[in-house]
Amino acid sequence: MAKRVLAAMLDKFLDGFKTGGGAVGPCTRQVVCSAEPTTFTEANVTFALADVTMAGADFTIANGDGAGNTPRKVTMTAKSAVPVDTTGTATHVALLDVTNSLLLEVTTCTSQALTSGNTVNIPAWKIEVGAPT
Amino acid sequence: MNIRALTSFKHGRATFEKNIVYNVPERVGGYFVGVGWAKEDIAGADEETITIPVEELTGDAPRVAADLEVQDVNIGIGD
Repeated sequence: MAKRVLAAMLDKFLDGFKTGGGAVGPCTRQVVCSAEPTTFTEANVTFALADVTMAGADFTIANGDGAGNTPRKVTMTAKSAVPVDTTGTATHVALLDVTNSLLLEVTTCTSQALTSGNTVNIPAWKIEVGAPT
Repeated sequence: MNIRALTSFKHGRATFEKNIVYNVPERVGGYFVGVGWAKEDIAGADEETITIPVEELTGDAPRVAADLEVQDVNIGIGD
């Protein structure tokens, strides 16, 4: 028997990154980190190598790429020439809600050495909520 | 050569503060004196002198852009 969820329900979750609500979100900063952050402070300070401001227009919600009923995704726009503040090896990327001091999302990236004073290009990436299975 | 900065200025990646004595290569010091940013400091031997490495007197190193490969996040709904 097929399972189904309303796309708008998934969008409520994804919209948390774009516009926020209920003192959670929106995402206002994307940070390149040298280790996996588990707290806002770790992402924003302890492991932070480079950061860039994010705004609502940087998030696009659309149909997901997976198969099945109503997968949805939010895609973060690419950010180029982000100044590197601290020398280190990038391993993770985090999305932060600075207003509420929240660590919203963490993903991994291919290890990349970064040098203070240089810049880093962060590609577009996505968070997808798959169809119910 | 030793020079005394007559004004605060930047050159390359080095910063020169007014009235501080610096030791710089003659070619660069001569340029600073010539444009009026500094004067040769011969009498200031007793003062602390800041030596500016040659590499700081070159232009800013070009910024190198590194490309990240960020993995997507997939969230599943089960049960």
